[in-house]
Amino acid sequence: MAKDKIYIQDNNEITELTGKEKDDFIAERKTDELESKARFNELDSQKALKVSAYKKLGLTEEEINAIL
Amino acid sequence: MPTTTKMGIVYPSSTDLVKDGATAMGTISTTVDAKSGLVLLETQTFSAVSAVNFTSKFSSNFDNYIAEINCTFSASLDIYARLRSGSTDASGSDYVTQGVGSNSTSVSAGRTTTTYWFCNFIATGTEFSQTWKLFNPFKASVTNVISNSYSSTGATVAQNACVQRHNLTTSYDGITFYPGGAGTMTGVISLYGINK
Repeated sequence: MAKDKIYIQDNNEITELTGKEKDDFIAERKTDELESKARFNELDSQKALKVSAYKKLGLTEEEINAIL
Repeated sequence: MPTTTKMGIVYPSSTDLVKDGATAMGTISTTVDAKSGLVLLETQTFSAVSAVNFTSKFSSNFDNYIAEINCTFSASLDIYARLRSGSTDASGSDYVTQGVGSNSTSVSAGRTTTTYWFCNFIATGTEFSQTWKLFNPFKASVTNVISNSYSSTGATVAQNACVQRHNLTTSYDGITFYPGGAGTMTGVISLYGINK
């Protein structure tokens, strides 16, 4: 199927989104993707904070990796 | 009449009269209907689509459901899900996901309330095998979910275990699964009703 087309399967029937419906769908997926990236960035930040705290406590990289 | 060993399904013996056959078939059918554990509601096989909808599948026949997902994505993303009423997705920020994921020695946990469910707190993927067990989506009560996810990009293998809640006390009769971003999905999803 062509990359620029958006297909939805509903109860085994395929329909192509067009017009505003297609534009809204693409916009919503972009928002979803940004939200997902933000979520993972936050999880990475939390991990970085934990690593920093463990380093201050004097733990080695190996010990920190074992904890995280 | 004799019965099967495991499910106790009554069936006609070889000495029964032919005229009793219709009654016996009716008994067999109703017994199978009552005693089957999982009832396959629909299997959808799809290729390069942007969403897979199960419309008008939940009913008062079942309280709880299982969705088995096997698919690949065109890009490294998450699987998202939304409940539906008829052909309309419930798109409010009422979907709570709590979970923990692991990828090699990395472990990550979180809780998110947003406009969809997902089951991933560790890494996006291009290959997914997931099981979603949905509790009471058709009842006018909150819907709860227990989900487990295998995901991979080929080079990595990640695991996630999640629980989800939809906060509205609304009856829903369907669910949609879709890639959480610009990408398409290819694979198979089966939806089962759990007999009660």
